[in-house]
Amino acid sequence: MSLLKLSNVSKSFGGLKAVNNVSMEIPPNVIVGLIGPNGSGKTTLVNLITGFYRPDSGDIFFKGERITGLKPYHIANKGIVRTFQLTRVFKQLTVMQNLMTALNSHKDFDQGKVSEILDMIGLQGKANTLAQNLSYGEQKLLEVGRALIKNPQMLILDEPASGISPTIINKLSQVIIELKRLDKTIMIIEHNLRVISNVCDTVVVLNYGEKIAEGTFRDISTDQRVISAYIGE
Amino acid sequence: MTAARHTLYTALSIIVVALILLILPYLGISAFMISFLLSVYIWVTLAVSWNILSGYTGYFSFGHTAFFGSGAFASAVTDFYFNIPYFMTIPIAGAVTTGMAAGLGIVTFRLRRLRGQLFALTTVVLTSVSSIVVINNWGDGIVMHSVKAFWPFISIPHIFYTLALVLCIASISISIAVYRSRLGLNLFAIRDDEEAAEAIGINSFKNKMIAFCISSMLVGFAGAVFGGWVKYVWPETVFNLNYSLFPILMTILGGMGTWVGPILGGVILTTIFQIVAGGEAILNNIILGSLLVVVMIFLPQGIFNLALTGYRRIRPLSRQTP
Repeated sequence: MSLLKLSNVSKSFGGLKAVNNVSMEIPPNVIVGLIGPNGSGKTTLVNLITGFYRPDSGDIFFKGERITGLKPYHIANKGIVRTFQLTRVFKQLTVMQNLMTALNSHKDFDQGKVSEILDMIGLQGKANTLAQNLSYGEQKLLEVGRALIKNPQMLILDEPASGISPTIINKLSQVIIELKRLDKTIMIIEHNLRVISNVCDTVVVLNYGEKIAEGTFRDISTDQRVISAYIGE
Repeated sequence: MTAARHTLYTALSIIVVALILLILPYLGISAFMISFLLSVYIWVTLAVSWNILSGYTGYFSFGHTAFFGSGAFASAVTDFYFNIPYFMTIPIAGAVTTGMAAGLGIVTFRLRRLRGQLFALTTVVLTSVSSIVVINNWGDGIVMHSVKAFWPFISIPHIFYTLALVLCIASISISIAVYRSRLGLNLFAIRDDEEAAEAIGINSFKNKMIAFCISSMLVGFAGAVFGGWVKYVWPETVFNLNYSLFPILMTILGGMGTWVGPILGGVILTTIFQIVAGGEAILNNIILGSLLVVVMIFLPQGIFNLALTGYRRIRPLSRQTP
């Protein structure tokens, strides 16, 4: 059974069809890459899945339950947590407080788990640092850590490697692979195809809001429609 | 220092200060000083309550005048027309202003486009509408029934001094409790980035509603205490825009988003207004305008945050429990 299922999902803004009749099924415990040229509808699709936009038509199911049109916080509490294209950490809070915000209550605080996540994202020594004083790459990692502390079944990372150094990209790739080992399902939107080829089991390609290909990275890299979308006819 | 010990020390400090302030009127201080301290307590209550919504969530409200005036009139109307004992009218005033906030919040907090400046504008509209309703119905004001002194040695001023002090201490305690609670953390997350807060499971609507209702309830109580103290509740007095503007200035001056800031700002500004300006409205407004400019340019983070930054430079955060 698929963990996440999109059935003919569409979303328009005025006359522009940002997402057009997209269907896909994501099984549990895989890493799925979502790629496509700029303006192909990747972030809009994530906004639809996570409740920030309501689809004009079509349905979205998570663990068999219809989640179409639910509020973002509701979807997050059901087990889909996302990060954003530009980092959106809580800048006036410390690293530790940022992690705490993702817990449902202070009672859920587990020092062992927090330490484990801080270790995983490499911010163990900065628990009491204000998020605004972290580097951009560290803020990206903190955002991932904040999502992880919620223990979601599915994590959606929107361009996690953009604007960060190769060292942090490697760290991030390690974290993503580690997450799969921890039974998480991950969707990554990314322009960095090296990251996609290194970590993803399958890749979905969007162009002009439509799904044009789906398969392993090797399959889609030889697909003529994908090549055309990226480098033109 | 552990979080539990920190909370214990804070609670003990508040209790000690409250007890000292409670017995102060019985130590022979002047009537002017009682009146001045009462005024400090009311202003601090207004600043602290404003901070609970606007300082913690970043939603700027100009609605304090609406809640203060409505609280005062809810108390006066129930006292004068329904002969309800004055002390019973205080919770009624709180209930009325909480209801107003809930009504406004249900509409505005649901609409994403009403964030920021537009929310602030809706609170201005609320002030205007509520004052018009009151002026149309009780434009000449209401003279409240006299409150009876309990015993010969507890005079009327003592009663209102105690009421204002209790309200002020309760407001500060609530503010600290919110600051240190899960609710506080949610509000800070909303202040920093509301969409990101929702993306990790924080119900921003519910949290903002709670903060707004707590804040407006405290202002309603303050309006009722003020109304009882002045006895003659007149729209022009209690719907004065200063009840919206001064708490903002007090909080920004003291340190927005901290629980100490509004107390600090409230005490400093009330002292300036009462002692330096002698309570003169024109002088108050000149001071208000000048201070607003000076604070915005030179002290946008407020006195407390400035002191905290300096302290952290000397002693960096070593241990901090959530």
